[in-house]
Amino acid sequence: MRHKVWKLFWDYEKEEKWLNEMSAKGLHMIHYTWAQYIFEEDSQNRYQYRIELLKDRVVNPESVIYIKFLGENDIEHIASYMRWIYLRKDVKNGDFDLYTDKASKIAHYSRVFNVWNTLMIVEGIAGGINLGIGIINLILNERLGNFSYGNISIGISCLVMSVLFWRLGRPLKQKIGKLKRDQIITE
Amino acid sequence: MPESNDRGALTEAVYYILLSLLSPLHGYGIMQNVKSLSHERVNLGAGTLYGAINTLVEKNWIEQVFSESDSRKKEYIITKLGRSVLGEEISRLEELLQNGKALLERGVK
Repeated sequence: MRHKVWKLFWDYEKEEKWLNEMSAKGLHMIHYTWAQYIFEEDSQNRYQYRIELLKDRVVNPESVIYIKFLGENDIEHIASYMRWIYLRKDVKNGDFDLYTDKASKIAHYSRVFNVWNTLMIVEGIAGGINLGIGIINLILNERLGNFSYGNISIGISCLVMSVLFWRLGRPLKQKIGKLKRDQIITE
Repeated sequence: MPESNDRGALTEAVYYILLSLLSPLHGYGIMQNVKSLSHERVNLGAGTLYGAINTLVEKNWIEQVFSESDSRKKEYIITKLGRSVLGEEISRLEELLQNGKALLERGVK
């Protein structure tokens, strides 16, 4: 039997944890599109799920080769979303970690961090400009047009998003920093 | 040999990958071999292994084997250059080991 679940995650590690908890309950994710997860009920099997951010888009030849390589290693590619891929491995086939050394962990965390950091900057700039225009127009008694409050509310929403992306990036930055410090003394 | 001066210590993963590829193996085989060589201690993640294989091929320390059998999976083998890197690394490890053991023993007395 199949189940459809709507859920929105910002943090991919929390999402991964949730998918693994669902699988432990016998509900295994088999499809994803726009915050909509499809689960298949099966109490016989159990999978470990991982979510990875690729360097390129899923259709890129490099990504295709990588996903094929994963397939050769008992890792199933379940779904994709932009550069994100959902992977799983049957727990009977052993542990499932994609990155097992500091250098490759740093590289993956950095890729994810860069996404959040870019969005933080874009939203921050958009927020600042909108808020600025709105306030200036208000000071000028709306001489430029009747749009001040519209701009101010868009500006505030963008700044809220910017803070959200900053909060998503912060723990990753800390992890990267810790790994880099450890890398000085151990591999 | 070029670049030998700036070549540092090999990572544990690379050392075991090179050792595994003294005979041809595909990705999954490398993972299993590294696991058994290290008595389950070193577990290579697929992403880490993929990155390492690509870098080693670029450096020409390993190369792809083109065989007619089981062409579905890519197999790799160590190159001449790879063997010499491995040899140098083993000498380096021997030095570390000898110094470590000798100094530790002296320290006990």
